[in-house]
Amino acid sequence: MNDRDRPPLEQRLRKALRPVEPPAGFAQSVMTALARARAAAASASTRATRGAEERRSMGTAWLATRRPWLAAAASLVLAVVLVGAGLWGSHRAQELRARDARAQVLEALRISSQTLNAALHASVDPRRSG
Amino acid sequence: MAATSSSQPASAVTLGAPAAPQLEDALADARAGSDVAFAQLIRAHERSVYSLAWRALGSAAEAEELAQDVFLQLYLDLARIESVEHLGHWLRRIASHRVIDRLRQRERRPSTQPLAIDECAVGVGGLAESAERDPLLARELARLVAELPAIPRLVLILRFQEDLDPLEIARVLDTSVNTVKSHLRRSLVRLRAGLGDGGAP
Repeated sequence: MNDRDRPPLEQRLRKALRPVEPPAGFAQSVMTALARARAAAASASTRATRGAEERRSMGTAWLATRRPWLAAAASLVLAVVLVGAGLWGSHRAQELRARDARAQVLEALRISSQTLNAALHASVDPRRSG
Repeated sequence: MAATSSSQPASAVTLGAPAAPQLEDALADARAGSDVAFAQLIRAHERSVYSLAWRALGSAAEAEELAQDVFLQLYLDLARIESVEHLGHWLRRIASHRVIDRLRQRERRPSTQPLAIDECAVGVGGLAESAERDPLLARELARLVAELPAIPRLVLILRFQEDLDPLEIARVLDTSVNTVKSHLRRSLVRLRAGLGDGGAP
């Protein structure tokens, strides 16, 4: 075949690149894969739901078997917290009282010191005492 | 194999494909959850998607796997498909981008098998006429197409297998029309040179 007999390249390409058939049953294999994917998704979802339910029911059972102990422990913790808070409050009040007392003593010492100073100056220089 | 006339666009030729109104109904039904309708959509587009993948990848097994993935993704994205035209565009677009991803993966792993040129020499449809007249020439043409770099090869497949114009190809490949035209021009020059078609248009 010489060049003149040949159809244009574009035409030859259209023929050479014509669509081909996929393997027989291709659509069916896609539908099967789709069904498999759906089943896997459903199974994963069921597993997740069941897992959550199991965890919830396990939690409930755990609570049910240990409820008296838990109540006792909670009461104990509460009692410790209350006693601790009481002790801390009493300690704090005592601290405040001590601080007030110290301040009063210091004030008394300051006044006494001023009085003694005035008396001392008066005895040294009678004019200053008036 | 469907008997096709050469004047008919390749994309319109699908064996046993339902007419457009039927496909619109099938699309609506598939969106509503009908498996039968979804299978109908697959049958209407399987040749196009599979052929595109097969010619670009050169491996029947990989093409089948890729086409299957494309249709599974379609199932997930059905709600976004607005019309039969949009469906065709969507399928070509997803298939083309997946093909490009695979070819890039191959480039990163040079130890994988090269293109099976003999296998993708000429499509079944191509053998009917051209190979009968000049099988060596047809085989040589297909070999030259298979040797083109990934994007130019894909451009050529979309142009001559899917019968898309450069604007549609640009939209499918997310590139400019000028780039598509440039790929087409250079690929045709290369093919002509390879075939010794110096004076052919």
